[in-house]
Amino acid sequence: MATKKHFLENIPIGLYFLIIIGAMCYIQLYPLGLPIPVTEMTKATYRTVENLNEGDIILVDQGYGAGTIASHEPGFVVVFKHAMRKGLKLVILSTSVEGPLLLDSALAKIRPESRGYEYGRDWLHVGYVAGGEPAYAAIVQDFASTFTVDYEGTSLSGMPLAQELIAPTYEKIALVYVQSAGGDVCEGWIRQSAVRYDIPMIQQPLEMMVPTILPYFPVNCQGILNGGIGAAEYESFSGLPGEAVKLSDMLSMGGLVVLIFLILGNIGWFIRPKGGD
Amino acid sequence: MSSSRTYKRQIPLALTFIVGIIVSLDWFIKWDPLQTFTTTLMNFQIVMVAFMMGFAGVNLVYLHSRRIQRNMSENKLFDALLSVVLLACLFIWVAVGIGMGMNSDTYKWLFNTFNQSLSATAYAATLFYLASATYRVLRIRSTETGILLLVGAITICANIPLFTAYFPILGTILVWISDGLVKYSYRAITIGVGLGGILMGVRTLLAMETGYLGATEE
Repeated sequence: MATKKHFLENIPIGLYFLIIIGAMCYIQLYPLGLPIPVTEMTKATYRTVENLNEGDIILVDQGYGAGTIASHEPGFVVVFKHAMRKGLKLVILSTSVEGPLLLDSALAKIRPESRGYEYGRDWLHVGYVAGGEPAYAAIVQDFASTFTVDYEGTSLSGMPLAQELIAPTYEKIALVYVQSAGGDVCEGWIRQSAVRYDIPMIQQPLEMMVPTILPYFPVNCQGILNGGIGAAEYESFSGLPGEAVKLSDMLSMGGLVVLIFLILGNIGWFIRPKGGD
Repeated sequence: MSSSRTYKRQIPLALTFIVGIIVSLDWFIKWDPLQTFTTTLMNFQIVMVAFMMGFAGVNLVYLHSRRIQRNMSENKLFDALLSVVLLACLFIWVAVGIGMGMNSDTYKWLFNTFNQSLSATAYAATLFYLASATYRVLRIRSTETGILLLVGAITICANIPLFTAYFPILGTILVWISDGLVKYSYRAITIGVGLGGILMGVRTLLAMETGYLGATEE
């Protein structure tokens, strides 16, 4: 017969959830504004962008969906802003079906036109691309044969930035920036662009996917942003504060509650009368 | 019988071999005509995947139509309703997308109001599942689970700015775990998977692996 669980390891889950929600609401109302320590991975990511020259082209896979927008959008926004500060050009595509529809939200925070960025000349959006890894290979080999119109359906033939990417495209791209929640997408880009053509690469996977990319860092992948925390670090390090910095307090509080309950559960396990399951 | 075998087995195998060899050669040989041809092949693949997504939509309609019929006959009205909602959403999204365009205000409204909100909510809800699982399951029952819990707790702490701001040593420990344990063990796994992938690729090219053809008559 199983011994009765101690109260500490049997706290009602509803109460636990309420505490998490309450803690996050509290920190949203009364932010701590703690300093954000910047990891080497984030510094390396920043340096990779910083070392590019004015006019260099960044190929961005804005491959996130609505589910991970809280982590990925700040990463997209801050790298875009950093690129604008450096005078870099950006070509945006998406390996996520939802990605193109989420771009408006990010652009409203970036406002490329505020720094004189002109669509078609300084940045470009070609929308969703299906096909997985062979599609990445085709894009880096010959961008013009893969895309003939942009996301709005406008022909790319009249856009100077698209003309810069005619084959061999891999010689024109200075950096690939991949944002995705899928390990296959991240590794696929590494194989088809970084390994094959030595194109520098930075990535922003979700926190849980970082171990998948770590084996490639820093040889094939020069920088990794550790999900939303990585974006917060990048914002802090680059001096371009945004949404992620504000979220870091919530991450702290959520993680703190989880940790406290983890400890309570184990204390309850240890002080439970012996002989129990 | 012989023509059926040719159609179902030999032609697909020959195509696989030819395409596989061409794409593989492109990796090793820098020759513009070959590269152009390979890019064209890859663009075919993009188109095929896009077609498959449309085909998947048709399959979804077929599958759920049958499901609605079956659930109605078995008086499972709620299950039937779920399928009806799915099909209604599918038709509305397709009609608006094709009729008004994906950049239309209506399509964006549908996406922002339903997709984005529901998707973000569903993903955020996983936090509660994870938190609940962490609290109820992670116990120091043995040395192994103790090590697992310790590493997990350090990882949680090191990913929380609140801790790393006051205890920078946590960041150092996490770097040691990441670089010393995770990176190299995962690298070994990646190399193993890569070798397995090469072997599988060679076997597929040589028609020793035919599972991708589906069930075919021998």
